[in-house]
Amino acid sequence: MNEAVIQLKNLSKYFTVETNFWGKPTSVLKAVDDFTLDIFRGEAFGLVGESGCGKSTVGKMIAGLYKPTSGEIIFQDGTDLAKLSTKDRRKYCQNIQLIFQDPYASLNPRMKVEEIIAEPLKLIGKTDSGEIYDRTKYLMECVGLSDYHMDRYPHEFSGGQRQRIGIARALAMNPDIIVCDEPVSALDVSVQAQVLNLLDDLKKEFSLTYLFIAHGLNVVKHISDRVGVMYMGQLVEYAEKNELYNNPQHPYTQALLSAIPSPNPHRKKEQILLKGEVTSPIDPPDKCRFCTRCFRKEEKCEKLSCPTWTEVSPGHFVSCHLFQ
Amino acid sequence: MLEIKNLSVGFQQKKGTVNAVRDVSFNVGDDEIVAIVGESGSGKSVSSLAVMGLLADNAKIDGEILLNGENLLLKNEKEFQEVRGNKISMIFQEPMTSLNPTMRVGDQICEAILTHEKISKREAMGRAVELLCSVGIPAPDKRVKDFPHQMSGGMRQRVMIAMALACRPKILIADEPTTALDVTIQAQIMKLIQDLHVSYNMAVILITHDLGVVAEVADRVCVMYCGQIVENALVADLYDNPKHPYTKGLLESIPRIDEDKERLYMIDGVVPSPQNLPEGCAFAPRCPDCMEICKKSRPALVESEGRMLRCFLYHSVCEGEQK
Amino acid sequence: MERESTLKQIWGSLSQNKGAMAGLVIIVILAIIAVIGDSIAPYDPEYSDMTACFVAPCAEHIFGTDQLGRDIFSRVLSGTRISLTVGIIAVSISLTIGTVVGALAGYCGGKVDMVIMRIMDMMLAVPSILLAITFMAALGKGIDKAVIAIGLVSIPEYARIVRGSVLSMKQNEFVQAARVMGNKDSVIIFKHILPNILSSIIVRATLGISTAVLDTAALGFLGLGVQPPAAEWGDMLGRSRSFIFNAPHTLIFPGLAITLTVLAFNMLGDGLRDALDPKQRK
Repeated sequence: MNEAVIQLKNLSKYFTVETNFWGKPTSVLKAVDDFTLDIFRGEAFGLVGESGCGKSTVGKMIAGLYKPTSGEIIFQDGTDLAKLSTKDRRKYCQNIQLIFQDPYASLNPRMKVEEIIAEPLKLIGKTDSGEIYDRTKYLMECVGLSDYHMDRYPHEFSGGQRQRIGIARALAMNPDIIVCDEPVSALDVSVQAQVLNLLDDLKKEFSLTYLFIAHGLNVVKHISDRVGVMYMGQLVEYAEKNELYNNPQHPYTQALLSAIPSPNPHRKKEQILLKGEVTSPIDPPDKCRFCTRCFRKEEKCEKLSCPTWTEVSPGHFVSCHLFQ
Repeated sequence: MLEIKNLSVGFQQKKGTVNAVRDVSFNVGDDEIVAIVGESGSGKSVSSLAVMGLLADNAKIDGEILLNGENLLLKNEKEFQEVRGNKISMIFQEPMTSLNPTMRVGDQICEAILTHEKISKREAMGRAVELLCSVGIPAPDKRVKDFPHQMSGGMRQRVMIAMALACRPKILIADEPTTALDVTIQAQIMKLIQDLHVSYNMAVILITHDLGVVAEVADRVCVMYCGQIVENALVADLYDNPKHPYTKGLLESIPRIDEDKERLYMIDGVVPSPQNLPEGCAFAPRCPDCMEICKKSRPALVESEGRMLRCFLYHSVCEGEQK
Repeated sequence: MERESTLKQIWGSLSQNKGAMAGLVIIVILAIIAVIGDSIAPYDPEYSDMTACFVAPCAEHIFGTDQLGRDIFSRVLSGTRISLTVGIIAVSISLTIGTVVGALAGYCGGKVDMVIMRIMDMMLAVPSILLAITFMAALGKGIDKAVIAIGLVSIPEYARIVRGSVLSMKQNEFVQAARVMGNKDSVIIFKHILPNILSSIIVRATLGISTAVLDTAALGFLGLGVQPPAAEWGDMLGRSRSFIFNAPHTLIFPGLAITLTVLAFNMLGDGLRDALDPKQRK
């Protein structure tokens, strides 16, 4: 379990917001800033955070959709994916796949389901049409679709079924790691449960590793083994899930957990209402990003630069000045 | 105060009529927060738009919508405008698109005030500042001059709420007010709606798909499925002891923070399309407790132990009691 | 249950669309006329009978005669070949180059986009007929050169449309999915993006045919395109402009021919757009 499938080291992604006349950036948006994390084989790592905190950007960098501004993405064979050229990077596509959020936009409306699932099979070099057909059929069964669905187009399916097609497409490559980018947030509650159970089953059956990105803390808790919390491009806390949910240390995690409405009308808990809103990630100052909204802020938080990691209990890491 | 009786809404389409809402009845009391929950396509938004008189022309509306005993459906467009904004207001899901991007927010709020009240522009602007203050926007006298794009999503939703409050409505309909917002902002907005509910003494109809939000703020819940209300009960009753199989399934299938479940409960199958509803109970094909009668005829909404239920499982019980 | 092949489905949907079928029938008839037009014409289209100028439509000359006493019906028939070829070839040129260039600009973005689109803007800044004349000056005289010039001139319009559509299509997650799978860029453009923006291209292209025919006429007017006495619809239209009140028939019939052609292509294009879209076909 302790073998890392992928190691992210000081990963950063900056987007240029403004340039001067000569094309030199004068203002940058730090979508992901100095992100370090190991993801182990066979685990599901949940990444939570509010919109715009950069969690999707992390996933897209791992999947190769964005090129990191700096930092390393070390794959298990020791290659740094961040340094590869676009052409060499393609060879690693079959190891890392992505499941998208919007089941309506993630399937090409002009392709039949069979073509959609067979496309990755052809890309990894399968040429025998019989083999491709059998494999497609098998994959569709795995995700709970019947073979009579093969000849249909995406628009003939419901949101949940489309998401299943997207999952089958990702599975076709037989990847080591699947990045799930908000896979259930566009689905209805009853369908969401179906897809979550399916992802759970597939993980065991194909011995997959997930990076599960979502904003719903309850969903993340259900599916993940370890959970990390992001705030404005930075990871602020990560731990084994029960540890994190029962014993959150970072003020932001505490506020986030208390803000989730619980479907239990009797549990009137004390809510920590954060003041204000997320500040702009454009040209952030070099100090704790959360200190403008923090309810446990101390004097040193304003003065010191970004906090570093502290291990508060085995496997439970917090990045906050209060623990240093 | 607001009574909805046997409301049905059908949309005329090329391939016949699509019945989005079928025979919906519920009441909203003076100081209640009533939540309407349901999945997408269950007709929860359509019913609220019907109350606001905002449905498209191809909609066929039946039934009665009584506001203090007056039937809103008999009013013409001009009379309806008197009610809209003045007695009933609405806030929408997308704070990004429901504000006019080329007008300052102060002017937009003033416009809402001036349509219904004859006061000077200056007075209206004063009111706008007050309103922004009451929805918790810091430095409201400066923010009235902002354009919508200068505000964040949570701020814009607050402005929307301020506009809705402009004429001190008796009823506020909130259609998925926090779906587009983050959890921490959602908590702020829900808190605000609860506070305003008390301070403005108005009823709130909260439309949402999030059962967590409902549990936190609502007094009563109507659960909708395929255009019908299947269960209508007090929040505590419904969450402690859901009776309709759909409600049960829905509550079981949410992953929860406070308990661990190896596997989530699943409601099998998919929501039937409104063009192709089953002959019997709409939920019968997915129901774990489906009986013979459920496949053949449609259950009525009957009262049982202080709540309304649309399920044959409880029909015999209440019939027995009545006898 | 075996479902029909995609091609059969497209044809099935197309054949049920009355407008598209009417368009197709007209195009087939026009094509036949283009091939055998000269031999079925009742008169020699270039023979001028100066004793019978401006004859109104009658039994002998069903479309009447023009200012030089030539039979308009024969000229319309004979002009079909040139006009149809001019329209189709010119549109094909601008469509192909415009689509490729626009897709490249939209897909690659950055510097490639800037360079391509600046060139396109420069071409748009010059009045199209002036630009066509410039091209002709470089290429030389003749109808074939005129077609190329007209085709080149309208590239920017297609490039703009395609670039815009590609830009918005590129945002879709299925395009990102194709990249995550490791597809080559060319595959992504041709397999995943272009089929999805066909509708806007097809509509523009069918309308482009009429513009091409009229532009050819304008070049002919300047002595750069079709040379008299050869018959060509746009040329006929242009030369009879001054007789619009005295002898409207000289204008109406070539005009009708152009309209009919454009209409036919447009109807077929509409039908094709629906038939190619799996959401529209049943």
